Amino acid sequence: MEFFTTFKITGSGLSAQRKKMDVISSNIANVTTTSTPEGGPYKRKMMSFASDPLEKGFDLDLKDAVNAVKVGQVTDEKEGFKKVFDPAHPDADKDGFVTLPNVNLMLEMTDLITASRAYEANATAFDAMKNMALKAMDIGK
Amino acid sequence: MTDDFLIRSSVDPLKPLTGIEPKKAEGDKSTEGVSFGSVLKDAITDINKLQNDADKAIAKVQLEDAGSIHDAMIALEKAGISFQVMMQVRNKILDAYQEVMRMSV
Amino acid sequence: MESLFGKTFNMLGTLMDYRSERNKIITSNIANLDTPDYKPSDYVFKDDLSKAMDARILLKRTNEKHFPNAMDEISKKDFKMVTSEEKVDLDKEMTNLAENHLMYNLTTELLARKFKGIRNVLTEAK
Repeated sequence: MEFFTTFKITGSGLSAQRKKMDVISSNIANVTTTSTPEGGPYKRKMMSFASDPLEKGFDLDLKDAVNAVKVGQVTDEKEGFKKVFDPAHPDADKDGFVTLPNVNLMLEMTDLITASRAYEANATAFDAMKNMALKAMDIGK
Repeated sequence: MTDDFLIRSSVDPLKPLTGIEPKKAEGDKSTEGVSFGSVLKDAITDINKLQNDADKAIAKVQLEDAGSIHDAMIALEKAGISFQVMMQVRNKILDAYQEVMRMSV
Repeated sequence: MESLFGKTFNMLGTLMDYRSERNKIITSNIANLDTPDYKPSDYVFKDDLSKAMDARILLKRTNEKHFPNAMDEISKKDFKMVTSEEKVDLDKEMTNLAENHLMYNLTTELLARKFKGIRNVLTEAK
């Protein structure tokens, strides 16, 4: 039981971090996108995590402590747009200002590194569990 | 059949040798303590129980996803060892029996 | 037949259960690294286990048919859950993961060797 549960937990951690990295890559790729289908410049997307309690019959002691993780919500950040004066730009408004996306490259890169560190941590936990399960099979040998 | 007789430990020299007799009922238990036969029976029941426990642990891991690997491994190992103990005991009993049969009367 | 195996087997078995439960908790903490307001937990011994073992009264069984005294064995109730008030600390969790992993492997190895020892006795006895 414990290793199937653990695989589910680490699996959820891995995919949640991966989604976060997708969101970050989307932000980085669109750092200068000034027009989007819904109008206006690209809005930076943020993803939050939420814990996902596992149902299966645990001891009451453990119940609250064993949680998988899932994507909470993906929201747009609505502030922090920069305006640049550039009348020649195709997306300039009537005053000649272009609104640039509120994506800060430094911030995104830091987030990317954090997310990949978290991804690695989950992968290590996965390896540890697999190793433990394999080792347990040596009991009889 | 080897568990059905007790060898008389004291023989009265004036009486003719009566040889080996089949085990009597409860009366003999009190003088000899627990009889060998009941020990064997208990052992077999124990081994059966251990084998069943091992089967249950295996079913738990495979089917219900509720057990743990090490429980199943430990249960299997215990059942296996008990069985081996039984086999060794059986071998010893057979050897002892054959020894006895070889004794010239 | 249970008397063949002795107390150490039960202790090792219980400890393996403890280690695998603890592993679940540690991996939950790692997976929820970025979840806001998630408080990490840990599963620990209630008190110093060796002291607890000594303090227990060892009852003698006067008859084979009596149940063994459960007091002198370690069981699930010797462990408890503690929840920390701070956010998940990745380094602490990774350390706990490594320690738990190693101890689990050690326990497995010890169990395997104990079993092998008994088997050796059986095969060698002439």
